Amino acid sequence: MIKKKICMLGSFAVGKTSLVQQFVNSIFSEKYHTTIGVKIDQKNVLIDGNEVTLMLWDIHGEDEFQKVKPAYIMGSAGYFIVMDGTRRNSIETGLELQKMVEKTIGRVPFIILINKADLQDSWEISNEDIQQLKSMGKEVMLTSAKTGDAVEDAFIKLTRLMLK
Amino acid sequence: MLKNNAKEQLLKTIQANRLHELRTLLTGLDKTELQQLNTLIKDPEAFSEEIRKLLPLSIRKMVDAGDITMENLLPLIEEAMRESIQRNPETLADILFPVMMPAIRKAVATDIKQMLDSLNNTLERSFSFKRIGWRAQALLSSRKYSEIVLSHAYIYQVKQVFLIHKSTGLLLAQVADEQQGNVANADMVSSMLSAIKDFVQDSFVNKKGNVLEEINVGRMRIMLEQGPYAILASVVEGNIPKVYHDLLKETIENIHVEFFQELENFSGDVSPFDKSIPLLKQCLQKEHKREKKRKPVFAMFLLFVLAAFLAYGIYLGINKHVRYRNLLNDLQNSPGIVITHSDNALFGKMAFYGIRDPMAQKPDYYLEQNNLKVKNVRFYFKPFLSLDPPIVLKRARRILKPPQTIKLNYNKGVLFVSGKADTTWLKSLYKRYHRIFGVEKLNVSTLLEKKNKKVVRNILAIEKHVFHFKYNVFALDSAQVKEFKALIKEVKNVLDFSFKQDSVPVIIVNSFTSYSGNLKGNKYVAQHRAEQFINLMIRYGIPQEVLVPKVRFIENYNSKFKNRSVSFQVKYIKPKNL
Repeated sequence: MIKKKICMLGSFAVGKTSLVQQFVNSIFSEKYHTTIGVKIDQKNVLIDGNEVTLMLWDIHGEDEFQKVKPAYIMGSAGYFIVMDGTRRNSIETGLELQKMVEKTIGRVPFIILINKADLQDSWEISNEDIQQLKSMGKEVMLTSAKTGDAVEDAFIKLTRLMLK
Repeated sequence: MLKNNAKEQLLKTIQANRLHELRTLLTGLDKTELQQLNTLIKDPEAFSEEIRKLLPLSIRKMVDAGDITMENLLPLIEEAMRESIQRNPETLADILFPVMMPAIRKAVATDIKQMLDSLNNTLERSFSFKRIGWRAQALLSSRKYSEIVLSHAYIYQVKQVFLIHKSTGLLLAQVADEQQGNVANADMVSSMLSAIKDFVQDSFVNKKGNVLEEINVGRMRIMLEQGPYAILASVVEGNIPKVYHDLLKETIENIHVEFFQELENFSGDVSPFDKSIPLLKQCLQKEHKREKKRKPVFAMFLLFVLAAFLAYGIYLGINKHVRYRNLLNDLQNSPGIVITHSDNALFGKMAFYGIRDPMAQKPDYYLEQNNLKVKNVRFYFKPFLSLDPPIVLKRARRILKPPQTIKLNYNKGVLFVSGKADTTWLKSLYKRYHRIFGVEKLNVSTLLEKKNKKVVRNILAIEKHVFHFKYNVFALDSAQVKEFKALIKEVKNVLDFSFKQDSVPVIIVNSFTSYSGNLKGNKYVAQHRAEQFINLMIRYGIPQEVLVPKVRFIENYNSKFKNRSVSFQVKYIKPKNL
């Protein structure tokens, strides 16, 4: 059996926990609960006939008050950098986190998720921003934890990348 | 000469070149290198320096190739160490001091903690209502009661053992005690433990080499034994002995030896670690609390109390029955009481039914004799007259009121009277014995001397005489004169005897009259008749002193004739009253 550790990283309130809940339990709550420390969930997925156990480390959002502890991301086989489409500054935080991760554990597969796709009308992140991220060679996906759009796809895609 | 010298020189050069060529062919080294090698071999300092560089690699290669094994080396190393310690123990002590002291401090601290845990445990166990406490604990903690009991039945009990990959926090393998209920999601637990470990180490543990060793959750402890690539997490309840810590250390070391390659190159595939399960199962240890074989004091006490109650009940039952039998015997043997039937209920009152003469002993009298209380016994007796001799005698005594000098006996309807009594009582005896139920005949013996008997008969005869008179008649007729003479004779007999006995009888002359007519006149006539009799008796020699007239009024409507009569009474009075 294959087990993989995946970290959810990003600025605060970008929807990391909601994405995990949507993926694991198919539920979404409008209520916001800030994550303190780390929350761990598990999901078994079947990829190309192989059962893979994903251990999802939902790490607290980074802000000026709490920094992500490098120890949490050690041993990750892959990770998501989650950004909030309605907050442009979440790109900056996300990229900084990505650098920190790469510095800590080296190059492992990751995907940038620009979340809250259901609120695209009020997005601050433009298509140009997205293109710019893609041009940097990064994998970018638009997700909605609320509607579940592209959530499962994102996890499956990252799992495939990790298994390569 | 010069030419020869040159030729010789040339030959030497050729030889040298050939020798050099041959040396090169043989050793592969030129002359300089060979000289360096020679110098190196001859200089021990330099040679050992060179060897030092090669030796570890050489040994490693030999071990890898299987030329030598660790087992081959161990005796040599041990021997060398033993030799070294024997020669100079202080050197080793100096070397080990920095390592030993923290280890000793840690061991002492652990032992003290275990001792305190044991003490707490003992205090907790000594509480007599512990099982009620366990119930409460089960209620409050939402755990099964059986689980709580199980946890208290062991000194310590390992519930689960996790083998966790150190850097990823992924669960490599896990085992759980079969007696435990549902085991929480091991993958999640494993990751959370890893996260907690990372958090604690990041946040609080600064010194290098210090690691999180234990997490306490209520009575539960999670022991963490860390290796370079994996962590062994053991979930334990109770007081863990030191040997268990050692076992965990040994196990993680063995896992690292056995799965070194797999751990080092771990990429998420956990299947190779299934082979580690036997090692992990060794860590699933538990130690039963030694229950002291206590004597079932409470049960014995309860049994004793029950036996005592039973014995007391039996005793009371037997005692009651014995008293009942005794009372029944007493009642049956009591004159004047006839028991028709009786009842002795186990939990009720005794009951006796029958008939009883009023003269018989009161039944309550027998209750006291048999230590019975009135409230526990019921008597249902109907009255009757008994012919039992004692009852007849009792009845006779009540009616006759005999003096102490009189003895009464009864047999088959005959009342036997013996002893001494005065004539008055004797007179009453003859009058009253008919009223005694059961007495048909009177047998008076040795009451008085023979003379006395005659006197008594005379007294009775005197008192039987009645002289009736017609209205306004005072004189005696011829028959009455004859009777009067008999009377005089009887009186004289009585007086003669009495005077000899120093007793003085009084002859009361009762003159009866009625209330009809003139009372005064009637009284006068009666008085006159009495005095007439007294005068006559004096004339016949009776002393005046013993004669007393007395007028008595009676009213006899059936025979008015009887209203006018004179009769006599004999009474004895003491001389001093004369």
